[in-house]
Amino acid sequence: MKNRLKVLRAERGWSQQDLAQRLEVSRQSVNAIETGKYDPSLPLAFRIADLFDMAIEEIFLRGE
Amino acid sequence: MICNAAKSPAQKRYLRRVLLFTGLYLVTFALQTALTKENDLSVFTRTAFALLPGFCISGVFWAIGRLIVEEQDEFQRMLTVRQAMIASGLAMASASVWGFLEGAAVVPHVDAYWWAVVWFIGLAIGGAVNRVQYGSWGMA
Repeated sequence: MKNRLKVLRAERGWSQQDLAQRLEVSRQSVNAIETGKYDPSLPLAFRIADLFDMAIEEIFLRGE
Repeated sequence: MICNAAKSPAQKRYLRRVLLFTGLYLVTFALQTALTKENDLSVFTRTAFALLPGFCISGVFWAIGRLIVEEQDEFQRMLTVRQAMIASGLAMASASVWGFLEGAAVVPHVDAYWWAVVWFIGLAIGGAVNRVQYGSWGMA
């Protein structure tokens, strides 16, 4: 699943580590999600959406 | 195999538990090895000292199970589960194939505790598979 996490993070000037700390996950988790290697669970997707104050579907895109 | 710099509380507990059980294993294995050379020990004593190293190895398996239960980072948890599944598949498949070959008198006898060693080798292979597929080794 594609996502806009990297762009959204960059817009805020956050490093992967910054985002990981805000989400209370490892930096490796953020990297795996950003690169599309791992699709987060619904609870984590909601946490990401809440952090960016956006809807899930504005961050995670349909398709491969 | 711990490769991530920042460790979660669950990972720290896992490390402490593994170190404890590994230390106990080394001590009990040395005791058991030394005592098996004594022929005049009772069956009860030999059984007790033979059980101890096995229980210590079981403790490492328990620690890995607790890591999977306690880890709050779902991605890291998934990596550990994948490692354990690859390890289990390798160990069970190896034991099955070897068992039938041994039954056919094609290969020599292997003591059963070696399948635990194969399982831990599988855990390392699982970490490498994780690294290739997900860019991260995992925790165990």
